[in-house]
Amino acid sequence: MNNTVLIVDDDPVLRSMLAFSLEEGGYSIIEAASRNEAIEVLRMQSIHVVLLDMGMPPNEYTPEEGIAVLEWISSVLPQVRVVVLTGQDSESTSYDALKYGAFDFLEKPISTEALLRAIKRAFLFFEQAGKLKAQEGVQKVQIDAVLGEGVKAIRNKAEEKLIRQVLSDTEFNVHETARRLELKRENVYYLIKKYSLQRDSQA
Amino acid sequence: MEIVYLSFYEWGWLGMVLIGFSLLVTVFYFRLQSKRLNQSLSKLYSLNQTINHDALAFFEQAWPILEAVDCVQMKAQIEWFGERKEVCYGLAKGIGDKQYSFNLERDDMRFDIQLLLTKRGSGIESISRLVVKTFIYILEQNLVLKQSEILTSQKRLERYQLFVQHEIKNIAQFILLLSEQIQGVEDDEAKLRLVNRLQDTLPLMAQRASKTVQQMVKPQLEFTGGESFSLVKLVSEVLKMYGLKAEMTGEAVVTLPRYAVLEILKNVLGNFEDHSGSFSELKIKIMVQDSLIQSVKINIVSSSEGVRTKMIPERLFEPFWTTSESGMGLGLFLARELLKELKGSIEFTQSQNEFSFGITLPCQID
Repeated sequence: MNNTVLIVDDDPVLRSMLAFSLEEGGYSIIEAASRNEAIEVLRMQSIHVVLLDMGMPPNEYTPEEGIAVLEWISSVLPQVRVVVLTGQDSESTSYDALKYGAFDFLEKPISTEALLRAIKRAFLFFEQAGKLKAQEGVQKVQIDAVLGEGVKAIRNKAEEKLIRQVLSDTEFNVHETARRLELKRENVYYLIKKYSLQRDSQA
Repeated sequence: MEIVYLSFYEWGWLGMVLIGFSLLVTVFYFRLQSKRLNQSLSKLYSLNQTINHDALAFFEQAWPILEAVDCVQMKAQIEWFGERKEVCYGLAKGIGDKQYSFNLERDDMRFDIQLLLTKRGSGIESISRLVVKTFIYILEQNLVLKQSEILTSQKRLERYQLFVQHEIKNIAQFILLLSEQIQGVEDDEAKLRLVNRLQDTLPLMAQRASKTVQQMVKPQLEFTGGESFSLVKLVSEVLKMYGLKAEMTGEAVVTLPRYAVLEILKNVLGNFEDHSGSFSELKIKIMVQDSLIQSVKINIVSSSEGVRTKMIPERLFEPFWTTSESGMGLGLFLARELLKELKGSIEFTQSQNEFSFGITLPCQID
């Protein structure tokens, strides 16, 4: 079982201490110090759970960088569970974390026990979502539906999200995507064109 | 007595002389008036410079200039950050004086002004009215300036509080984890791993704790002393932060307060990130300038291709003025403020095809 946690924090001291606590809890650790490093690791390796600090350079005191990572994950690897750990204003940051698809929110300072509990829960939910997909063919699609925009807009968002997810799962294999969605390949190509999806632009 | 009869031709000449003379008098009168206006306006501007654009001081000291241009009386109710006061300069003299009212208000600053002008001074576009208009305009500008200064200070304070809060929470997190790890770790191998980690992390944490305390005690220490560092490395660090690409030439290892220089570069290059859709790849040149005072110049050049409108240099450094949806319009203003603390400067130049920011930093070159 892949039990690797990606710790994204610009602070090398905290990263190291968090890594030690998680290693002692039985997890493998990969560390990233910035948004770009985190995205690079997520592209290259199979990661199921991310522990994310929201404030990183150049915006150490605002959640912009953390939000950017959350947005990327939610768009490209929606199955990944992100536990946000932050020392910023808890009310506004937890709001942002939820808005951009975080799985859990922890406020500094956090005890090792609470940290391990959150990470364990994230892995459990990741695994259960995987089972749901494998056993029942159910793919969860989370969208932010703006009430009042009409049903068509919401349907398009769901359609785009689903095609993105399946293309990501199949590494942009159109044939396999069509098979999984029980669509004709032409339809998949049509949807790729409709939502301007590209292998690289998935980032 | 002999009567002199003038011919039609001579009458003509006499008429011409009279017209010429009256024109001369008129020109002289207007010249005098213009000189008077010019003097009054210069005095107002010069006063404003002298009192450093302070609205209250300007109001209190401008009366002699107004009095000299047919202002009879000036009454005002002033509210200045919760404090109220009434002032009255001059004495109402006679019938025919005309009253003008002005209300100026910005946040907690308010002036309700009543001005009495003589009948002569209240004529349309008279010198008095032009001087009064200028007086009110300068006063209003001073209020706007004060308002901006306050906002900027608040932003700085907010940023400082955020820094301290952020650091203290990280230090608390470190201590909590460390305490639990020391209590929880059992086998020798884990103990060894913990000690190895602490060898790397503890000095860094001690350094940070000391820096945080220093910030809390005296934030301006950032601008004194300094450490030796490579400018290329620092610029590269900032470029990486913003995901910007640049072709870099030159290098200088300087002794300066690193944190302050980092903030300056972040504020300047942050603008390129905010408008990243508009700018092409940057060219950054670092040059050592060996004149009387040793300094280093960092030139950041970008092509204007893709920039729709010409940039307005005087607006670029104005606080809270921005064309970016996400920016606060403080970056370049703060960069200039920080540079002032380091006795440096920043200048903006633009041509048909490119524009550049030149940062000059007096420093010790290593």
